[in-house]
Amino acid sequence: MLVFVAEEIVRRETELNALDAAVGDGDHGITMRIGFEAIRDRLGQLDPATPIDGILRESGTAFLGATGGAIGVVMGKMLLAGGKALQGVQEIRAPEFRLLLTSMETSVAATGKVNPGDRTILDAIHGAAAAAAAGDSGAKNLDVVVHLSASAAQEAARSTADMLCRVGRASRLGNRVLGHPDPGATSFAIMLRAMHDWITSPITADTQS
Amino acid sequence: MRKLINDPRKVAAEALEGIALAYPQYVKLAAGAQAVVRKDAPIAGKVGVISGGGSGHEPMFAGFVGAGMADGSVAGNIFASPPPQPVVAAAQAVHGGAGVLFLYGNYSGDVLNFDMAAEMLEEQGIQVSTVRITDDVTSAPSERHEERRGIAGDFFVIKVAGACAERQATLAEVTAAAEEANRNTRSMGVALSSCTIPASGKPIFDLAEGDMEVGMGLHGEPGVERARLKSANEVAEELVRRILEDMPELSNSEVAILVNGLGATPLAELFIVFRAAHAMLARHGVTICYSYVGNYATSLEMAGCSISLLRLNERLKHWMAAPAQTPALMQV
Repeated sequence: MLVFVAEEIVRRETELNALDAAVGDGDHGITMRIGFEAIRDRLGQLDPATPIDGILRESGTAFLGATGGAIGVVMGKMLLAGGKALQGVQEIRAPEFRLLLTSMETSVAATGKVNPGDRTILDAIHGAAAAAAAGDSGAKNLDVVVHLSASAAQEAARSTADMLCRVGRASRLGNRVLGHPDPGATSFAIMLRAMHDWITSPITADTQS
Repeated sequence: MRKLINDPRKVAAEALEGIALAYPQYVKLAAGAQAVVRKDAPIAGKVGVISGGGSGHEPMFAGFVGAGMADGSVAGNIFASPPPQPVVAAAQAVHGGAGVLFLYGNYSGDVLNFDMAAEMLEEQGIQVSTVRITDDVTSAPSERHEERRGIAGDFFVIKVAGACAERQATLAEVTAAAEEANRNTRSMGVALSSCTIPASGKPIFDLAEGDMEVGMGLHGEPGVERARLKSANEVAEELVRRILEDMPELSNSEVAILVNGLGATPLAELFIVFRAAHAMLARHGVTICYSYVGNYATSLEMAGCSISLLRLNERLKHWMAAPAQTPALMQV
């Protein structure tokens, strides 16, 4: 599944660069592409029997080692935290997916020292985690929960266009960021949407990673 | 995009390799070719000074590795901080048993990655201290000076810390020297044209012909004002005026000055700017003890310059006068 997510991110490099150019130096897509190519390559070398937590840990280490920049540490630690949260888990179902999002939200908030509303990737993760938790009683199926959280992440990413930035290089821009969605939040929304597409795709039923 | 490159993804790596090949008398590659360290590293009993950050600012940082300056520098991709692993590897390569000092410009990416590297090194029993350089006066008001970013003033801080470390000072002493240099350094820049990150192929911002952006950062961060381009004298005076306003105690003091080119501005223009800054400083009773003019911290092919002033005391004068043998600074 992460390989599919990686390919989607790589495919959308130019779009992410353009988003970043409005608020930064225009290289967010490049960084994400480098990070996800490293994930794809690392996963390609893994034993197919590697458990979910191992896959997440390997992905986090690969991303962290490949990109640099603030997003390298934030994304790397986020994936490592997800791996820790899902230790021993054999299959991701709705409860495990909720746990994954919660652990990622906690990790990103701590690493970046940010809160929801600061116009960062955390806004998309927070939106996704909240939507997944809200669906707790009704949505039992993984595809429904992932769909709800992917939509919420996308909505949250869009709403960052109305937020001022408190941290990072874009914080120096003041209200010049208004009207442009945060590139990191947009990336996270793309990842969740790719996960959803992978889960609901008929040809992916027999593959794991 | 008109660039002399082979592969847009390999610009940072191939540039670093070129520096190491061109100056084997000073530096060698380390950390899986993501860093250079001085040729004779590690030196027993000496504090290892590690600088670094995104590439695209050459000769900063690799050009200032060698005797009397940094022991090593770690290079990230263009305008992106390096990941923690090569920072750890470079620190290990220069560690002579007296600890390691990290010196880098204050950007969130660098802070996150170098902090993580520091944690990893401390787990291995290597003592690390950090000084984040905050010389750019336009990046935050003076009451929030610790939020400011680092630009060409990095040069003074690396020079002072490196000279201090060369005398076998302790980690606490070298850290104090770097902090003192940073506290006394102020910079401000002006951009006359944009630059293009090779992998994206597009200019990082638009600046109309005949316009300038006053106070722009080294990665195209917007400055304080966009205006029609003025004469070298007027621009130099504005930069010096804003620096003096930010640090009034510079008046009637002794300083080191760096007039730094951003990549595409010819040396002749930098000397014209220096000439104007010199006159303006003289009017404020400032005595120039050390002058540096040239491309020290660039922003790829951006046109423009920055002015950095280091307010000197006897200690800082001593460290600025000390010799240095590095690819980009030869001082005897």
